[in-house]
Amino acid sequence: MREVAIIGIGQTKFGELWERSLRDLWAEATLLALDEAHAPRIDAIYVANAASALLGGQQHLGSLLAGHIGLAEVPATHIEAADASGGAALRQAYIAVAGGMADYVLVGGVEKMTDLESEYQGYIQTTFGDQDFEGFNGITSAALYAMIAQAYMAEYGATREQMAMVAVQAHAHARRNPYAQFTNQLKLETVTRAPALAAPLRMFDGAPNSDGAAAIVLGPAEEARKRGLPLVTIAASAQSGDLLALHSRQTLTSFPAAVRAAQSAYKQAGVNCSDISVVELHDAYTIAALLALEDCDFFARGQAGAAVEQGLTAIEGRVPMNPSGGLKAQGAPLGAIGIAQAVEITRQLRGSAANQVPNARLGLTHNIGGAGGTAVVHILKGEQQ
Amino acid sequence: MSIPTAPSPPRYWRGIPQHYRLEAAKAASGEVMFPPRAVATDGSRSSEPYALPHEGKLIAFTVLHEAIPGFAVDPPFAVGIVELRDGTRLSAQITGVNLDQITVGMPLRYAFRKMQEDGVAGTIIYGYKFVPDTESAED
Repeated sequence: MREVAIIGIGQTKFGELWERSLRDLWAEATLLALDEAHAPRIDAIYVANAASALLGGQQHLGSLLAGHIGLAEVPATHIEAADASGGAALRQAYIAVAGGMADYVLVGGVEKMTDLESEYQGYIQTTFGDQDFEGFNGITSAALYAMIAQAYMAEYGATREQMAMVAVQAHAHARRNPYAQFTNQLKLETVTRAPALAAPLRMFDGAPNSDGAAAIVLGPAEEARKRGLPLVTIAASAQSGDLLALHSRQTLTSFPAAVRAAQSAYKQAGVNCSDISVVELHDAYTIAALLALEDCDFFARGQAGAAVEQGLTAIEGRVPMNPSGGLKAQGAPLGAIGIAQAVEITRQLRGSAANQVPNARLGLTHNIGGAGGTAVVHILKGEQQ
Repeated sequence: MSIPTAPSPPRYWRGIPQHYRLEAAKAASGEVMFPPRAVATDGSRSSEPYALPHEGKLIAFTVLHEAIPGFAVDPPFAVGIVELRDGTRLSAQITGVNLDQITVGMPLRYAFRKMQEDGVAGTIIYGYKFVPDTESAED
């Protein structure tokens, strides 16, 4: 396996972008990444998208989106793993370059959520779980995460305020992010007094519906080093799965797939969690961030809520979490999430992030599909030239 | 744009053993699978239909405040994970009880209920929900 470098990144603003189409968003992000990469050619394209067939009635995204950016003849394939589509697609692109089947690969994630009436957004969520045995009974993603939150609070004594702090911190981090959907300050009481969503979760515990795209160009690290630019390489790419229905699993307070993916990633990179400078974790709901911090081993079981409350996950904290604002505040265009996480970590490792963690050397991304059926973890490494 | 949110008649019909009778699959190892799976945890590909017990207790629940298109009930309504007497868990709506009186650990039993009113081709969709098991509670 050869070493793989990130040689180009691009991202659109995330938000309710009524004037932008799926293909507009894709073009903006991918052309930024391609212009930066200066790759001699593109050998393959992977498109991460979670729900375009339902959200916009469009499939066959590989052909559509490759053709839209002048690369109609390049093999282009759509990868779907619910809101872990981005991480899963990045991993496929990594495998292609690391294994030598391709030298230069474009991987982009895109989602256009606001063209579907909002009443259907809850239904879209049910399609990420077991439709016949969860969705059929009215169980949405919000319901699954609410039950996880209830079980977590009962098991560890975590408080409603600790969960709310995840959202408060996300908004604080997004304030300086020019791509973020929400740059307003969020007060703790606003979260804890917001309209009920699925008890104990309230409206501001959940990530928004967002339009947006993010893209990365990968290439062989050996070639990239010759250019003498600050280099970011992929030190680990790991993925694990689990039974789709939450009720089929032994635990409600952890995603075993995420634990397996994180452990595999640490082993591949030859590092442990204390070596990681900055993380982008999948905070689809506030409770998800607490699980993520524990599943990736940054805090002991039941300790993540207190850690967030104490500021240990702020930019200057021990585990700087979601400097972009995460899904909660940067936005959550489903298929683009996993790519955007790696784009932000790349900026951090280049030293060019809006919300820069000083001296960031190693960064981790954690991308979850639905309520833990898929987990993808990447570790990126910055190299000073 | 609107999208069909109810199962087609054949898809609904195929699910009748599970949704009407709580039929799981039991592998040779004794593992009970709900939903049934083609391959059990130990790799076994053979299993027998297995009738799940109709009584259990509530493991976790939430009250949903968002409507889902086509559903027979309007929000707020309760959903939960139920652990049946044999240890098998499933997801279901919790009904027949005031929403503020639902508690983790409460005894529940199976009930046959209408799920969706106007599915594809006008079908009425039935399935299981869980209601308080008052007999068990009085034991």
